[in-house]
Amino acid sequence: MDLLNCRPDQWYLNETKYSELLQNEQIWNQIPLLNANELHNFQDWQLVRFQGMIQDMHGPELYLEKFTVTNTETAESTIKYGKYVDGADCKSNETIEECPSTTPSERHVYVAISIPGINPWVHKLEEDRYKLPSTSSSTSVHLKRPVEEMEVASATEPSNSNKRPCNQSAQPAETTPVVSQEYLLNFPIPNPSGKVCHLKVYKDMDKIKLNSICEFVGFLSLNPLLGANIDDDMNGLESQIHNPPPCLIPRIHCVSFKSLTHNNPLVTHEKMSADKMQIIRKELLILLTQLMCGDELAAEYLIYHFISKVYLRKDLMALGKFSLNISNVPMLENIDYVQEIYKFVETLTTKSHYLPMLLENMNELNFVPKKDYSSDRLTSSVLQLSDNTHLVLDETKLTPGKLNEGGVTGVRALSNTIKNQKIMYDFTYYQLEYDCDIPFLVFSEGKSMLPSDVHVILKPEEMHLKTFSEILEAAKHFLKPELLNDIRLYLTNARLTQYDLSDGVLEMVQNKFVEMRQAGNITGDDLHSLLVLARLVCISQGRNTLDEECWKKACALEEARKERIKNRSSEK
Amino acid sequence: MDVANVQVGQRQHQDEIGVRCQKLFQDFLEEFKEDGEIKYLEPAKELLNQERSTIEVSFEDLEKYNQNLATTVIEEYYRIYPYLCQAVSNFVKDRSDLKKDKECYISFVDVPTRHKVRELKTEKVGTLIRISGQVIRTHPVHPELILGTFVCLDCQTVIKDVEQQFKFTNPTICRNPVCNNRRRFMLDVDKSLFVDFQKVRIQETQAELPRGCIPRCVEVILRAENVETVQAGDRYDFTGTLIVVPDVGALALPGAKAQINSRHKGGDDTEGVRGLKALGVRDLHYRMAFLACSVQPTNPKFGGIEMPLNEITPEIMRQQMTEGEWNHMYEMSHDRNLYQNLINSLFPSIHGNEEVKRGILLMLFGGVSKTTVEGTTLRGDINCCIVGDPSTAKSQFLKQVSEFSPRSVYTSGKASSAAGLTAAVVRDEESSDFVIEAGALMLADNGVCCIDEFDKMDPRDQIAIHEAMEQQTISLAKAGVRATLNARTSILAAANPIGGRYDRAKSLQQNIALSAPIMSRFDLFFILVDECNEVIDYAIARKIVDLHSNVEEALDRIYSKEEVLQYISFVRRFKPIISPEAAELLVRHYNHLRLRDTTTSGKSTWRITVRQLESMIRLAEAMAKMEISDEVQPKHVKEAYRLLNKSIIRVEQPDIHLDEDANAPMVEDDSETMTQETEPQPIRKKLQLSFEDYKVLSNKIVVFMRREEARRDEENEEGIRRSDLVEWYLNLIAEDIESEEELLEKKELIEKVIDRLIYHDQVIIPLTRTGLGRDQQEEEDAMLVVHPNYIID
Repeated sequence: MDLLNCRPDQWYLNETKYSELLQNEQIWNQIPLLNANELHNFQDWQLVRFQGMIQDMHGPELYLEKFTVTNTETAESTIKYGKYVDGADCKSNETIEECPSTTPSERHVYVAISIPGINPWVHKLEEDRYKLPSTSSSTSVHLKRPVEEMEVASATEPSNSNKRPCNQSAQPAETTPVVSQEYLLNFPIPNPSGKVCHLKVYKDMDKIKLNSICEFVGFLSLNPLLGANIDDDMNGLESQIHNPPPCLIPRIHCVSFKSLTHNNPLVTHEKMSADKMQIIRKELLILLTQLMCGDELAAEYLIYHFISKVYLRKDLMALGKFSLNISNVPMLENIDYVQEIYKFVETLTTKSHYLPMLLENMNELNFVPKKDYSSDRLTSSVLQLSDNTHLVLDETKLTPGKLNEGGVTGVRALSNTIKNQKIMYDFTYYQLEYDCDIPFLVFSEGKSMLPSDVHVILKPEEMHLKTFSEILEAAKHFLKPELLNDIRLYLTNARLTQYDLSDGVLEMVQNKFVEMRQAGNITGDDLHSLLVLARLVCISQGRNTLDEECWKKACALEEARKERIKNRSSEK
Repeated sequence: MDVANVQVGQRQHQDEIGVRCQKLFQDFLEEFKEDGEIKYLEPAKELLNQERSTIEVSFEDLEKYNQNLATTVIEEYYRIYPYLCQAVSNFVKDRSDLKKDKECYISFVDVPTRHKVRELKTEKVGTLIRISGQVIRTHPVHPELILGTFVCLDCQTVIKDVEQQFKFTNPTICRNPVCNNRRRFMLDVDKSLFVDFQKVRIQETQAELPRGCIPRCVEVILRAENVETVQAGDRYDFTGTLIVVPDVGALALPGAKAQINSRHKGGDDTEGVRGLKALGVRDLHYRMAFLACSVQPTNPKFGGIEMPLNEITPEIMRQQMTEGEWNHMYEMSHDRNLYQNLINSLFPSIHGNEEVKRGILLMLFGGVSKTTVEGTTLRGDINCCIVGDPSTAKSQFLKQVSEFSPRSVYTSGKASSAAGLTAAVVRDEESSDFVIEAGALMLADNGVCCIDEFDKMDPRDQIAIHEAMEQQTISLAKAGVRATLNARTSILAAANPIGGRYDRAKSLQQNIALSAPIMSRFDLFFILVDECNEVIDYAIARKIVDLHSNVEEALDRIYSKEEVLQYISFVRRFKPIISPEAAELLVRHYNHLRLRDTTTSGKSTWRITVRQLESMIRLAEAMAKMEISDEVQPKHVKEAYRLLNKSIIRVEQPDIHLDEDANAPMVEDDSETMTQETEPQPIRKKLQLSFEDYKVLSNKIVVFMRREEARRDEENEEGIRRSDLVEWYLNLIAEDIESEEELLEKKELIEKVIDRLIYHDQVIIPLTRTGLGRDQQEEEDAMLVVHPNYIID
């Protein structure tokens, strides 16, 4: 059975067989990946793979699963299937018959976007792996090309050859306000190579959650006629949003999907051994210590920050969140320290975003996703990110000035997200809470205006500050491709490590807590953060259960960190 | 719809069932009697008015009258709807002297089952159902053509009464047998019949939304009298049926043919959807819309804004419950341990603080609001304030409550202004009119408003909520807008003490930055003090560690959140009346408090006023409600008094219990703690001192000991023994002692105080001689020294 050239009706008739075939991971991976290729390399009704984040959910759609088509001239009737297709394929002399065999069914429409904040190396790796041999006239397989092309396309009028279908369907729209491409794409973070798809899902709808990352397999539908029918003046904007030109936003009729816990293409089934993890950890620590100007404590915390995730939500608490505030950031001449650090964050993690907290950014950016009722969609915002997307906030860029109303809500949204790892989406009449898991890394000169789980005061060494540009060079050399990949793999692996607390250790922790409490100056919240830190210490070394050593290390780290804060406040 | 494109006079086939239903339904209208009157006669007569066209029929009546008919109406609603309307028209015509036909409509109310927006699936198409949702968008009202009169452009024949459904429908063929015109017709607007038509969009309510999903929307079509009855933002129940229309704005699009209710109709020649026909591909998307025949505000079970809450009686609530739910309610009300179980189910992750939990639980139940003869309303909502040291789970209480109760708002005092809490007048950007923007208190109407960091609020803003807290209204008089708005909400506030930590030696007022008027508006004050205590520490550690290792505490939680919530919303409807005995007890307790208040003048900042009496009544009512009791009984008053007392007493002077078993609540009488310093209590064995008295006494002892130590040091004498101390003290108060009994009493007291100083406060250290020479005597009469680091304050 040729899965790759299967047609929707074939699939419909042999559903189980094909689904079984798809179980095989090798076959799954053979399906061309839409993310890594240009849309014009695909044909209508081709089976494709798409990795994306669920950005919005539209209402259900009714379709005819099975119907009869009668040719008015020959009176011949045939049975056709409406599953996995957009429209009925019939000629002008054929009519769709109403008959008992006509079965209406429901499918759900989701909007999936390329994973926001995905870092260039991940994208490049995917392209290397899954780029189709180019079939079109442009034979260039330079990796940079497609990105540039896209940029040009979005910057200028869409007049390239591959954009033609878009023009065609957009032309009749001139009578009504035509919405811009950016508006249609609706990315939380501008992403020139990003793609948006409308997914039509037929089963397992309840497994799809907002902002979750999934890999979908389905039939691509590119029929230009699917674009908005502009005759309708009543819901002009809305129908444009719901029926965008397929060349820009193709439809995928999903036959199967799986949710992903990470998007690191380097991860294989092989588990990294604990020994290897320790070795890589050491290397990473060396690197980060240098970058943190010789401050090993800050480097340790940075590692923990990279591998943190919310591992449990109970009642109102999100356990495991580890937002880090590094203050006392050095202001160097000629070098933007935070941006340099971010370059490394970008090369190490799979998803990240750098947000300088400029006054204008704070005032103008939308932080909270908002439901737009006039176009009936969820307007995305910077905070609509998938789990474990590292958001790096640069508070050193903040200048004194007036924060307008939008800015105040923005700051409030940020601090609420850091505190609870929940975002209140704005539904005009009420707000709805959605869970998120965004590790925040805030760089600031003094203590950040935003709350944080952990506040580390950086202690830069004179030597390092003087030679920081050399250090950056050295660090780049230090990161040989092999080591770099090892570190990337290590960070993802560590985050996914299973972790347990054994009873014996629990007992120990309780006793220690009571002891510390007798000594005074420790609260229940401190115990929470100690337990979280101990977990991170533990999994950073590739261990699965908490032991006394890790606990002690966590305590020592916290003590050293608090000591600094104390000294700092007493200095003043 | 069947008759959509069938011309009058050419009806291809009569719908047998439809005709039968029409007849049966007309019989029902003619015959159904309530209290000896034909129930629907009066409403039918009203339809004679020009502007009326819809008759409202209770579905329950129909069910009573004819079960079969009712079932048919439910299942085949869309199919027989025109027949039912026809029945109404006929009924109206028969019963009046109406000359010409009048188009009448039927509107069903009280349809038993209610569905969620998410449950609207294809199988529901065409059946009579009720859904509820929040209106998010209303479109303008348009006239809709229902019966068109056409003129054939070829032969000028007039074709009357062409039924229209959702789109403009030409007659299929000219009536003139010799004219074969199928296309060229002109609508005669004057002779056609129009009806008001409005499209609104509703959205799933928050309560029904599964986690991690975007609320779903559905379009609702309102007609005739129902138009303009809904407002965006409010929640309503819509009764009607689900219909299927092609996507892409098909409702307004000529050419695309509405295809409705295909399920109920086999064999009729309905064409598919044209639209893209010429292009070889046909659009197969359809969309569902809801055709509503009646609109009602959503009732309280689903947390809507609904009719005045007072009108909802427990009976109405009961009707809405299923049998199982009702039984469960019954079982819960008979739970002996209900109080405790409810508390445990509400706050499973917060350790200890039982009193606070009790207070919050009673707050959720609320008292009974009353209206006096003069028309002033007395609030029934209970306001609570939690004051405490940092990290004593204050915010967690608030968060939990706001998460838990359906209409609640959580705000932080630091981040909100008075306008944000009450209401603000803002200029609308579009119309440049002034509009009122609801603040947190208004949004929490009939719910709980949780305000964290209450003390951080600007004092001016605190004053702004005075009115809201007692009168439960918000008055606005700004910029041309004058309004009084309801804010019937309970307030749960949390505040930090001045200086971060609660100072036990000071009074409540000195501890928090709140003005007296605002303090008096709180029914209950709770103080949470971060105590270092090994047992508590262990328990806290256990809770936290369990939380991290995700251990379920199945034992703690007897009822699920939903059960508790349902119980609360059910019980809130009750209005217990105070029984004479309870009233007497209330009076006694109040007198008592008041008396105590006057005797301990000076240091008391908490004036016992009528407000506290009201508080006590409210708490007692809440207690009675919890047990679903029709009247407030003395036991309810007792608990209310205990709680109130606890909150006041703890504030003023946290008593020192000198007996080991003194932890039992001091229910009966607390007056002795208020009287002279060490007055004996001959009757009661329980020994207790008010905190301040204890402090005074302990300071005296310490001062004496220090002096004595210095003296004896100089003179090289032995240190102070325990017996010395007791003797000194008894000598000190010798004048006050009158009887031997009293002497013994005093002796016991001082012994206990010393014990406490040694073992609990560790101010005095007993020196025991190590070695073999230690005997019983030595043990009992140890050498005592004051802790060198102890500072007298």
